[in-house]
Amino acid sequence: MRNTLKFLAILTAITLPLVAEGSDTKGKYFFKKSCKSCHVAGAAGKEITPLSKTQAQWKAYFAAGKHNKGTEPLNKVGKPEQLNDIQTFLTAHASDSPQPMTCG
Amino acid sequence: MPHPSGKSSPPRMRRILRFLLGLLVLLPLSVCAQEAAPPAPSGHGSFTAAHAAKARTQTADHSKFKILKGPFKDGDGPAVTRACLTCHTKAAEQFMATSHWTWNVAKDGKDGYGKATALVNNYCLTIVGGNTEGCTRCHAGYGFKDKTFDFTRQENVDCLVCHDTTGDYEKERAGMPNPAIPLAEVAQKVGSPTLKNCGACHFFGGGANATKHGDLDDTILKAPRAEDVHMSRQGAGMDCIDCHASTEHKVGGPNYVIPADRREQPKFPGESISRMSCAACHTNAPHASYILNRHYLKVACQTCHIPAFARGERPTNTFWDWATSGRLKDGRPYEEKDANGWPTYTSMRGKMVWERNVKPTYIWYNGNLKFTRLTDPLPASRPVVLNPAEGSYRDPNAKIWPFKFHEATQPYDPVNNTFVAPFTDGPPGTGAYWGDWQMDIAIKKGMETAGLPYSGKYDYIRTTMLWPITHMVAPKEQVLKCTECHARKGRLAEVQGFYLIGRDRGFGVDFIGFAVIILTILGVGIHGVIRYLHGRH
Repeated sequence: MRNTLKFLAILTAITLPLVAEGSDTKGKYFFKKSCKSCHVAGAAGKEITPLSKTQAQWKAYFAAGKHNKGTEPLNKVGKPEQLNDIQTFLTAHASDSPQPMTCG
Repeated sequence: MPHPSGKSSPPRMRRILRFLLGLLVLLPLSVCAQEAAPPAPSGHGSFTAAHAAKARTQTADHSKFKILKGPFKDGDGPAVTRACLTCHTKAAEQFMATSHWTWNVAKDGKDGYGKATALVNNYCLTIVGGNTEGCTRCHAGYGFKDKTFDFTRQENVDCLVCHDTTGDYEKERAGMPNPAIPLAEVAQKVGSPTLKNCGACHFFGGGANATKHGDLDDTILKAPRAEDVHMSRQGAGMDCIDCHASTEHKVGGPNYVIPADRREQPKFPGESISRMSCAACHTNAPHASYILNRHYLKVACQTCHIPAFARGERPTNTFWDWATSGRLKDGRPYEEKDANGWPTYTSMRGKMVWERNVKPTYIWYNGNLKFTRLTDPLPASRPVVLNPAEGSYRDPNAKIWPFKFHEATQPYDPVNNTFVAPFTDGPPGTGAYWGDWQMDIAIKKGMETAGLPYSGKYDYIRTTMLWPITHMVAPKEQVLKCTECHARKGRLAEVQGFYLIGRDRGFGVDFIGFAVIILTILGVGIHGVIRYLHGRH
């Protein structure tokens, strides 16, 4: 019983940050700091903005968790909680969102 | 004299040997010289030297102060300010007396010349119609959401936006720091403001990069010397505050209240000439030619030394058409871009024109721009010039200045004959223009918030604005040639009130000139005829 409780507690501790909704504002910051170092017009990664995908496409992208055309895991370029924030930001301002955004 | 080849060989051999020996000695020397030589400075000073000198002037290592180690809660800017104020006890009080804080200044005994009050512009129009929270991203304070903001609370001053040296600091709505910023790390590395600090707002005036000024945008951070000899890192590597000198947190700059006098007049105690004027470093007679130095009396240095603005990679906005804004595709806002990726139409703002390498407009200017407020009746001129420049040839303080000429259309109230303050920045359902796309509702809401009368009717009117050009000074090789202005249809074709050699013609001078030519021809002709008739050749 005690072991089961412990197991459950650990499980919640691990999954909570993953499940929790990220921060839109923080996501914008991390998106600019990490993603925008390569994903700007004229650079190697080509320009990416929240408008580049629809809400569903962003969700699918983060669910797949692959970066650089599927060649490397996404968590190679950012910490899980930062990626969570970035996902929230990109989804909230995707091309079919109520507040589409080009900046970032 | 021919020499037999056998005899000349010993001296020639010696000469070759000597040459080779010389080479052996010189080569390593020249290599050493190349390694040791500093990168050739182009112009005065260099970026590295200037910044090394600045780093030396700091007398405190802020990472040694316990109070700056925090920890600070996510986005808790005021807590950082409280920490700063424990040592810099008078800093907030000083800062609160500046227009960077008040966003409101009085001029000629009238109040309301500032962003936070009733000033009208050509870009996002005004902030008082309920747009404060979005616009105050650029206010050097925390929590400026609406007119209830407490301007007397010292912890509301944002120290970090001007003193961050990490580049990690960013402000969000109402001027609050982004919660993702490691505040303690930023606070421990504070220093003097650099291009980046001032640029965080001033490169983005008008709502986005390169929109408002034309001679200030973020390309300056990586500019080659040809774009800006002063601020380029390959040029003098100067920071804004090297010219915009400060005292008691008051940064020198020509804001709305510049007195109607020459900008060169000293602004701070100890100055014999304003540090912001070119002459403070270059003197008022910097040319070898007397004639060129005489130009200083009536022609601003900028007029010849800034042949065009927006010379970086980014074009600047020259036209903003609010009258065409608000078009939707399938009920959603959209954007159209040109081949270079610059927006030519956005639902939020309407049609836009972006230009690079723009020739300035030249106007007599004595340092005073007459701004228009929401409470002022519309000026009679059409199109309405929102900030006409004061000055003429007869004004002893006026010079010919280069300006960015910006055109727009914007809504106004034809019944009350005033400009209006639409509520633009808000989500759907709030009546905001960028949420619900109804200009009449947006104006009604905005004027209510601003506490100003609105007749209920609106129309669009063409407005223009003038932005003095003074940055992006070009290298001397690119300076204007005499004939750019001294020509019939030169750059100064429209500048009135005086006689310009090469441009203007005077009846008297022309008459005498033509008369002399005609008389000469006649004289020669008659003389020739007489000689011919007399048969004496």
